[in-house]
Amino acid sequence: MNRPIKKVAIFCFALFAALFLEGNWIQVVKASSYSSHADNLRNTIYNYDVQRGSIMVGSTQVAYSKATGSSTMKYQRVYSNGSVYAPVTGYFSSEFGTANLENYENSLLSGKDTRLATQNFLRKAEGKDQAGGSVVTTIDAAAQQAAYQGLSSTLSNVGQGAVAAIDPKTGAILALVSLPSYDPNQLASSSGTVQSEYAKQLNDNPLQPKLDQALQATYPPGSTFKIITSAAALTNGVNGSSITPSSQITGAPLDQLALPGSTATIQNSGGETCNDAVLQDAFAQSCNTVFGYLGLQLGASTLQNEAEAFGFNKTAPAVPMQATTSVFPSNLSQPQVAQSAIGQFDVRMTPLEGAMMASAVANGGVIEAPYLIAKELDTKGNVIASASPTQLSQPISSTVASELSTMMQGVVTNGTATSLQNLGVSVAAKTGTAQRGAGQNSVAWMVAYAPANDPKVAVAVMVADNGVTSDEAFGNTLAGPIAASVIKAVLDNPAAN
Amino acid sequence: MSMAANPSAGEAYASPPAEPEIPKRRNAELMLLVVALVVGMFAYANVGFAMNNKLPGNFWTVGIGFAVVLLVAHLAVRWLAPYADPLILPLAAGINGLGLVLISRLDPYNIAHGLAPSSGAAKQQAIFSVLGVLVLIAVLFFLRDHKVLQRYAYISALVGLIMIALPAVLPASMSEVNGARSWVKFAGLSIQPAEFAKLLMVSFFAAYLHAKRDTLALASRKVLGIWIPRGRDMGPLIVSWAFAMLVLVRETDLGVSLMFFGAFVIMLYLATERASWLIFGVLMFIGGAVLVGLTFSHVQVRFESWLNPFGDVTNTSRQTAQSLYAFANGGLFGTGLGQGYPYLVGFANNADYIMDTVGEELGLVGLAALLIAYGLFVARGLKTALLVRDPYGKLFAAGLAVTFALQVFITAGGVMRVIPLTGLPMPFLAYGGSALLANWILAALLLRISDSARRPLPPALPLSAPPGFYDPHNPGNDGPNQAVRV
Repeated sequence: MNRPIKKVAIFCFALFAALFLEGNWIQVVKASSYSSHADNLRNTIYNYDVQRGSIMVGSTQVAYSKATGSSTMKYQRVYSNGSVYAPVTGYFSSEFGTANLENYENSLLSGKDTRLATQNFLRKAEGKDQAGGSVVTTIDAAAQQAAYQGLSSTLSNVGQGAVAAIDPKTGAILALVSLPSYDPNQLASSSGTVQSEYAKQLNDNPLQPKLDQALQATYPPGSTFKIITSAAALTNGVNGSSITPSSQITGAPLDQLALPGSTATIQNSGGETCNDAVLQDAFAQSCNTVFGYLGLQLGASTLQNEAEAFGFNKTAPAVPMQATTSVFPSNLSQPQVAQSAIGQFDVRMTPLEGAMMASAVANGGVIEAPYLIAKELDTKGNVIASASPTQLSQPISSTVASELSTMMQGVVTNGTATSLQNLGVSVAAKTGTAQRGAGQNSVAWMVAYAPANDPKVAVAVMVADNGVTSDEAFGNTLAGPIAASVIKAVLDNPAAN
Repeated sequence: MSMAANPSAGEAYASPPAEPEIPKRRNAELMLLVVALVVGMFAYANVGFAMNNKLPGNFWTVGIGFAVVLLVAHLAVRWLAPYADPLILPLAAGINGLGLVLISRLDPYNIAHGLAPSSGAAKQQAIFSVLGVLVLIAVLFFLRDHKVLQRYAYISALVGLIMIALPAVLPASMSEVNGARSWVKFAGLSIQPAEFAKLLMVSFFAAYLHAKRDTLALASRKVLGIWIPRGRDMGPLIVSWAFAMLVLVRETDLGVSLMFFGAFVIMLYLATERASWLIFGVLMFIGGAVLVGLTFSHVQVRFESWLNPFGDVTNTSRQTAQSLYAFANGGLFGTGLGQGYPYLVGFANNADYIMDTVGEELGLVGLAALLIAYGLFVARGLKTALLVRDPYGKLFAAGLAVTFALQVFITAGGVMRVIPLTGLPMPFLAYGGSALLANWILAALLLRISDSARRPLPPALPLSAPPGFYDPHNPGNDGPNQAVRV
C-alpha cells in the first residue's frame, strides 16, 4: 500500500503548491490592481490612520487633522469656517470620498506622494504615524470672508450665488465662494449615520449645495458679455472700418432693435432710450439696442471667434479642480446673433470665466492661468513646490485692452456700476442682468477689476434666483456691493500692496 | 551493531544481532514545543505593541499558562506514546497558538460589532485549546492501540452519517448560522458535527476498505487500458457520492461535501491501487456539482462569486472581494500583526476567513510559512502511514492526513479564490470549539498510530526455547513437553 501513499503525498504537495502559487498571484501580481478597487475600503480607512496634511489660507489652517486618541480612527478631519472654504477645501469623508483640494491633493495630503517617502520611512522607523504634506492656497482670507458674507446676506438663504476673484497679474485665485454652501465637518463626521443623513439632505436640496457655483455652474452672462462684443468690434472693426471707443456705431437704433426675419425686438433695460450710439457711451449705459445691432454687423463667426479667444467653448482651466467650459452657441440665426451679442440666448458663462475676462482687460490682454495652490509643503512644513504663473492665452492686443479698460472705467464713473464708486481707487467694471427662461429669476452680474491703473484684483460676482423680480435684479444693486467689498478687502490687505 | 561482531573471534554461536535502538525523539519534540511557544508569544507581544503600544496585560499569564499546557501535553506523550512522531504535537500547538493570537487581534473589532462574545472570542478559544490538549491526553490514555477502533467500524459509520446529516434534517433555526447549514444548535451551544464526523468516517472507510480491498481491486475488467470495477462494487462509491450531493444541496456546504467524498475516493485508491476509482470519483463529483450548481440557486451564487468576485461587491460577492483585498494589501511581507484591516471581511473573519489576517498582516512570507507548517503536519501523517505495519493503520493514518490536507486546501483555496468559497474552518487556526477539539483528537490519533509505527517489535523469541517450551525447530532436544506428558 506504500506506493499509492507516496502518490497521494505528491498530490497533497500539489494542493499546497496551488495555494502558494495563488498567494503569489493575489498578493504580488494582482495586488496593486485590487488595491485600487473603489469598494476596497482600505484606501479610505488608511487615510484615517494618517496624520493628514493641512489645507492653509495664508498661515491659517482651514482643514486639518486632529488626533482622536482612539486606535481605530486615529485622526479626525476638522474644518474651520467650513462652509466659507468648502469650494476650496472640499470634504474628506469615509462614506462619500473626497472632493476639491481634499481630492485633487489627496496624494500629498495623505502622505502617499513619493516626495514624502523618505520622511515617512523615517517616521515609521521612529514608530510615528504616517503623515501627509500640506497645501497653502492662494486664497486671501479677507476677500473670501467679504465675498461669503456679502453673498449670504444678499441671498439670505434663497437662491444661488458665486464669487471668483483673481490676481490678474499672476492668475492666483484670491476668493472662491459658492452659495448655498455646506459644512464639510458633517461629511467628515466620525459617525457614518451623521454623514449619510447630511449627504441626503444636501442631495435633496434643489439648490445643489455641493455644486461649486464659481467653477462648475454656468449662467447667461447678460451685459457682461458686451466686453467681448466690444473687443470683437475694436479688434476687427465694423463693416470694414476700424473703430475706437469714441466711434459712433452708425445705424444703431436707440430705443428698440427690430430683429431681422422675426417680429421680435430687443429693448433696453426698463424700456429706456439710450443717449447716443457712441461705443463707450453705449457700453457705460449697457445699451442693448446698440450692442445687438453691433453684433449683427460683426456677424456670428466674428463674435464666436472672439468668445473662443476668451476661453468659451474650450476646455476650461483646472485650478486644480476642473472648471466647467463656458459656451457660445454656433449655427445662430440673425435674431440669435443679436441676442448672443448681449449675452443672452444660449450663451453661458462660469463666474471664473467672468473673472478671467476682467483679468484679460486688466493685464494688457493676457490671461494668466488661474490657480489655487500657492505652495506644497512636506511633513515638516518645508516648501517642496511653489506655483509659478503661466500665461494661459492672449485674447486681445494690449491696445484693445487699454481701450476696453477706459470703457470699463466709464461704466463706474458715469455708467451703471455706481456701487463701485467711492472706493478710493479707480475701478473698471461691467454690470450684467441676464434674463432666463420662464419661471426663473434673472441673474445679476458684476465683473470688475481695481485699481484700474495697477490692477491687483479681478472679480466676478454672480447672484441668481434670489427671489426678487427681474426688473430689480440689476447687477449694480445686487452684485455690485459684493464686488466692492471684495475689492476693498484685497486692497486693504497690506500683503497685496 | 552486527558489524561489530567479529567473525574471526571464532565464536560458534554469534549472539543474536541487537535491534537498532530506535530514537524516541522526545527531546526534539520538547525543543520544537519551545519554538512554538516562543513564536506564539512573540506574535502576541507584537499585536499588543502594534495596537496599544504596550505588552498585552495578560502576556505573562498567557505565556506561562501556554507553557504549562504544552509541558503537560509533552509529558503525557512521553508517558503514553513515547515513540510518537516528534513533529505532530509542536505543529498542532504552534498553529493553535498563532490562531489564538489572530483571534485576539480581531477581537476589538468583533466585540464592537457584535461578532464575538463581549469577553472576547480569544478567551473561549483558549479554553477550548486547553480542553483540546486534555482530550488529546485522554485519547492517548484510553486508546492504547488504534486497531481497537477497527471493531467499531459500522457504529462509527452510523454515528458519523447521522452527524453529517443532522444539520440537513434539522430545521434551519437549529442548524443555520449566517446562511451555512452545517451546525447543530441546542442549549446555547453551536456544534459543527462534521468536524467530529470526519474522524468517524475516516476510521470507517479505513476498516471497510481494508476488509473489501481485494474484491474492489481485483474483480474488475480492463477496458481501454483502465480497470473498470464491476457494477455491484460501485455501490459504496455511489452511496457516498449520493451522500455528498445531499450535503451539498441541503447544507449549501460544498466544503464538507468535497472533503468527505475526496477523502473516500483517495482512500479507495490507497486501498485498491486502482487509479480508475479516482477517475470515476472525480468525474462523478464534478458532474454532480455542476448539476446541483445549475439546479440550486444558492450553490450557483457561490460559483458566480468565484468566477466574478467583483461582480456584486455590495452583496453576494462582497466577502470574496474583501478577502482578496486583504491578501492584496498584505503583499509580500504583510502590514505586520495588528496593522492591517482584515476585519473588513466582516462575519467569520476569525473563522472561515482567518486566512485573510494571515495574508494581510503576515504577507506572502507568513502565508508560505503557515502552509509549510500545515504541509509538514500532513507529511508526518503520511509518513506514519508509510511506517505503520497494519493495513488498517495505514489507511487510517493516510485518511486522516488526506482529510486534513483537503480541509486546508478547501478552506484556504475558497478564501483565496482557487475554488468556490465553502464553509470549513481552518484546522487549529480558526475560531470554533468543536473544530478545535476534533483536530486535537485527529492529532492524538496520528500520535497513537505513529507511536505504534515506530515502536520496536517485542524481541523475537530466541532460536532455542527456554526450558519447558516446545521448540518446533529443535523437536528432539528435550523430548515431549510437559503438556503432553500429563
